[in-house]
Amino acid sequence: MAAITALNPKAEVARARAALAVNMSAARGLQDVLRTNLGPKGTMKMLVSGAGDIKITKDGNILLHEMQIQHPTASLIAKAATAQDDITGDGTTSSVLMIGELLKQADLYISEGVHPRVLTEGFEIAQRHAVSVLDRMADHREMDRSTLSAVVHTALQTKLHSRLADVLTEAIVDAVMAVKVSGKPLDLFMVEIMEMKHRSDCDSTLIRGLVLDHGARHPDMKRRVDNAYILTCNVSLEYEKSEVNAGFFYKSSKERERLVEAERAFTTDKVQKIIALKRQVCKGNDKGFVVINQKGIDPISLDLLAKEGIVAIRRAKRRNMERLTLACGGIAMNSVDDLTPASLGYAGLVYEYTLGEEKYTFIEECAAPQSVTLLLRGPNKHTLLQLKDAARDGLRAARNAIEDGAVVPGAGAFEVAASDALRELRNETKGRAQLGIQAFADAILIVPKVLAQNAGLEQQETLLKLQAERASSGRAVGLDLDTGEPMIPAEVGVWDNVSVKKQMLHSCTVIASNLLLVDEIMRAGMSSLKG
Amino acid sequence: MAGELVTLQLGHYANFVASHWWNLQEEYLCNGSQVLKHAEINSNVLFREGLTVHGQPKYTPRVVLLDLKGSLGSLKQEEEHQRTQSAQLCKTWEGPLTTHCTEAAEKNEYLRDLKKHKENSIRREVLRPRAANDTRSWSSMESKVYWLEDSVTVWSDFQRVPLHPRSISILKQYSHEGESDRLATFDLGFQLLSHPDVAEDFEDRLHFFVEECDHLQGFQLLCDWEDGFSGLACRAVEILHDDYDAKGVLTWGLLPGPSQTKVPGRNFNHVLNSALAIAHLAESSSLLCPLSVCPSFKCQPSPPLNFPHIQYQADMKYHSSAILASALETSTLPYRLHSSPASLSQYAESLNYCGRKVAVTRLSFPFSLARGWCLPDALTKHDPETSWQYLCPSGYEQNERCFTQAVSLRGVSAHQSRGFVPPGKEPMSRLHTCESGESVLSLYLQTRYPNTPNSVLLAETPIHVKTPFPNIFSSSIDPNGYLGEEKRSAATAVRQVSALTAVQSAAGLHSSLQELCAEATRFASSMATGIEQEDLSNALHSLCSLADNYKFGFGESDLDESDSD
Ligand SMILES: Nc1ncnc2c1ncn2[C@@H]1O[C@H](COP(=O)(O)OP(=O)(O)O)[C@@H](O)[C@H]1O
Ligand SMILES: [Mg+2]
Repeated sequence: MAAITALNPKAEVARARAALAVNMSAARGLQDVLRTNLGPKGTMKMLVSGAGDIKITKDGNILLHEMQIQHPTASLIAKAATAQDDITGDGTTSSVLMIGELLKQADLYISEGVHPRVLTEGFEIAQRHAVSVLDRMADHREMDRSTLSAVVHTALQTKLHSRLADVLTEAIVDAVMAVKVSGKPLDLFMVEIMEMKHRSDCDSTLIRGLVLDHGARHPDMKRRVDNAYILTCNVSLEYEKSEVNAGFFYKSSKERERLVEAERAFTTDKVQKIIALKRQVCKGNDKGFVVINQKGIDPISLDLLAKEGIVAIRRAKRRNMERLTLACGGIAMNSVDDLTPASLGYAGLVYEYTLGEEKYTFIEECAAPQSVTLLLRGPNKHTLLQLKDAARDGLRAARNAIEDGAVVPGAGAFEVAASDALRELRNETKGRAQLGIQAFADAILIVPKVLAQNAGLEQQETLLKLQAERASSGRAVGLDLDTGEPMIPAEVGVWDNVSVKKQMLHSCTVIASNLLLVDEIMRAGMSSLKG
Repeated sequence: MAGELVTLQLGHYANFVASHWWNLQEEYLCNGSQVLKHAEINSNVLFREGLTVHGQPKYTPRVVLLDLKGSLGSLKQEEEHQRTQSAQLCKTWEGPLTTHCTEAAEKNEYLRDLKKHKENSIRREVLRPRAANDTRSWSSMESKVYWLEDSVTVWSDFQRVPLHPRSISILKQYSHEGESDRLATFDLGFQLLSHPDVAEDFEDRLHFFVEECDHLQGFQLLCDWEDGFSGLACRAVEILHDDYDAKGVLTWGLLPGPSQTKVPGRNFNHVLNSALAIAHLAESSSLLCPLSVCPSFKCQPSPPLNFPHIQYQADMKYHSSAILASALETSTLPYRLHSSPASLSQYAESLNYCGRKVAVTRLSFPFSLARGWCLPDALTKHDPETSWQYLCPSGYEQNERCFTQAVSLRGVSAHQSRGFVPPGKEPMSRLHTCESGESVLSLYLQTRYPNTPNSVLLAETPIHVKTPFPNIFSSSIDPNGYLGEEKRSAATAVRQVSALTAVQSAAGLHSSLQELCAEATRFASSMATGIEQEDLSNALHSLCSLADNYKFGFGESDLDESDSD
């Protein structure tokens, strides 16, 4: 191999060109699939599988997961884009578009004989410069209600129609404000998302407490309890062999029965301790008592509790245990031996809601809940899934904004500004690196271009308007997708996350560069694919 | 009080085996659309009862299954909904909507017939809800002989028992087929189920089935060992421990037969994945049983197992998984009968003394009985060497020692189970003098395995090997599973057979686990595994000490000790 290359130095270039062409077409293929998704005027996609299953999404990340990607290059791009989503929760579609566009711009130069290395060097410089532009444009400010609303709304309107986006924005911002502890990073884990099928239209509400997707398992337990003490515990209340009964299998049925009986008494004893606490705190008042147990409760124990007027819910999910005490107060108990009134939490209202075969338990009216639930309602599974995905996007956008302490103007404003700045940089740069910077400056415009295209606007003409307006006003200028005219995102409240854009600039540059340096990536790529 | 079990199926081959297994059990639940209550087998252990839209009881297995993108074939995940307009389905977007259809997946002949039958019976149910059990189209379907060898590519091509919509979980991160996006290694699988979103979805599905159980006994776990599902299974058991500690977990590690690709034998990854899986799962499971028709963990190809009255293609998943499912359907009876004395945990504990968490399964299938024979006749003629096969792994000599075993025999009716000694005649053997079928079997085992504690179970119910069970029985087996005098014609299928299994804590595991450990160590040093060096050597170390637990004479007196305290 080496010998042939030495004889024919062009062979290496030719081979690189061929491999690059393959990468290019894979990247373009992905770009074509995703381009119509971008922005508030993008297209929703309904995918029908071979078996007839339906998936509806507008989210680039979900679409990439649904597709059967066979080409290793395409798969590499998809992985980078979904990693973008894992890290920041947004920006997948833009990433795929940007990678495709960087390759396309690069191809124009390579076909004129420029070595890919030259371009990737320029990319690197351009990327660093773009990040500094981003930092300069970032609007550092207090993340108050109105700013958070604007950021969340910007994210949501790319996934939901405007009325829905409005309602869900409200709920999300309320949720964030409820669980936010100043001086600490926002813990999104404290916001549970619960979906519920419902005949009516879509809706979303914030429950200041918790919703469990299961209910009490005893017919005599009340379906509604007011002013309830909440006992959160992780104690098995079912017949269960606690010690290893070695040889049980070989014992006679008499011996087995005795073991079972002893075990039963052990369980009943635990139930009695809970009942004793209930009697103590509920004596002489009309307060209710609700047990929420992470472990099982068998019918005999349920029966004992029901007779005492206690509502008991078994098998609460592990992740809800911490949320429960944060919502209701009290302490999660791992044993019933040291129960005191102080270990109890409180909720103003606990009620069960039945929907066909499904049951839900609402634990509401908690005093100062630090854990809340976003309740999403929709007429079918598909709608619910979209609501859920959108809700997650919105929550991530809020968290990013709080962590960044800043937001950046959206609607293409950053990209137009960065492109301008990069063209200036190109003029100041000497030598070959100019080419890569120019390519980057052109490629980054793909975002405003596609936003315009999806709104049915003429790409070049719209872009020229934006650039002219920016030059004359010197401000961050974005695109009003309804009128096709320039607008000021800061005034309209279209804000994107700084960290999303930063991550995007970084990962797109790395992936595009790797794909250009084909030989190197072929090796690196294959090994990383094998995992 | 027979508690409920929840079953996990992790991986494509695991789903093959389980599909057959559920199909084998349908007979106990219903006949066409008529719901039955089986006299011997307690279906509540593995199945949940729900309601159809028309208020009829409907049984579905209590199961969560995982597979990868592109593995479902023609199986529809969602329930059929009345033709809803796409606008109706998408209430969240008022902008443009485009539809993209994948080419429709064809159903094979069997699935088409099944669908037709179901539609008919629903129609009848709606028209005449009370007289819904017209079994005509059912029985005509039952007598038809299908050859599905060419039309089964994925497990859903022969899944007959309907699954609950919450059961099927398809992981979108990796592809079932193709070169890229393979879930190839232990590490990838472990990472995948550690991802918060994936884990949460898994926990929620599990929760749905667990929460409704009044007396949860524990979990059955079927998992693939060759690919990344090995690591995924280990993570799954960790989750089970976090959420449901103190419940039993019985795990089967499945290795498909020789691969259909051109590369012979198993590749390095397969060996390493299996080794890591055993090391981890032996620790976290109550009992761990490898199962395969290709009896070797090692890289060299080994000839598949032979069963005297079975003609099967070992490299065809549809065939090999049917045999493994028959073994499962038999060996799990001890905790699945109405009369079961023990729970799954107690069953596992009877076999796992002294850290010997791994057990091998022996299968005689079909167990040879001829019309007119009694059990003692059959056992005197039973030749373990050729017909009682070790399903995994190899390296046994006959009559080699085993520490304990649980033996199940099914398909022997009560009147067949003991010998008949005509007055004044010498009994044909000591077996013929035993009072009950159980004592016949115990005596047989005591002679073969002196000093080994046995638990034996005899069930009358045979294995119902109806379509879509493959037609793999030789023509010497008659439709009722007996050794026939005449050859069975190709136009009639075998309906039922008997089977004998033993799950053994066998001394032979010492050498096979050691060999596996040595081989894995060799590969581990020469390739990138994605696993921390320290974790890797810890795992291999615990595999070695696991092997040591099976040393001859190790902890021999422990049985008495644990009895006394
Ligand atoms: N009201 C708006 N007007 C114009 N552009 C908007 C508006 N809201 C959001 N965008 C832009 O839409 C883009 C994000 O679109 P989206 O479909 O979410 O793609 P991605 O997957 O890349 O996040 C961002 O560039 C954002 O600035
Ligand atoms: Mg977005």
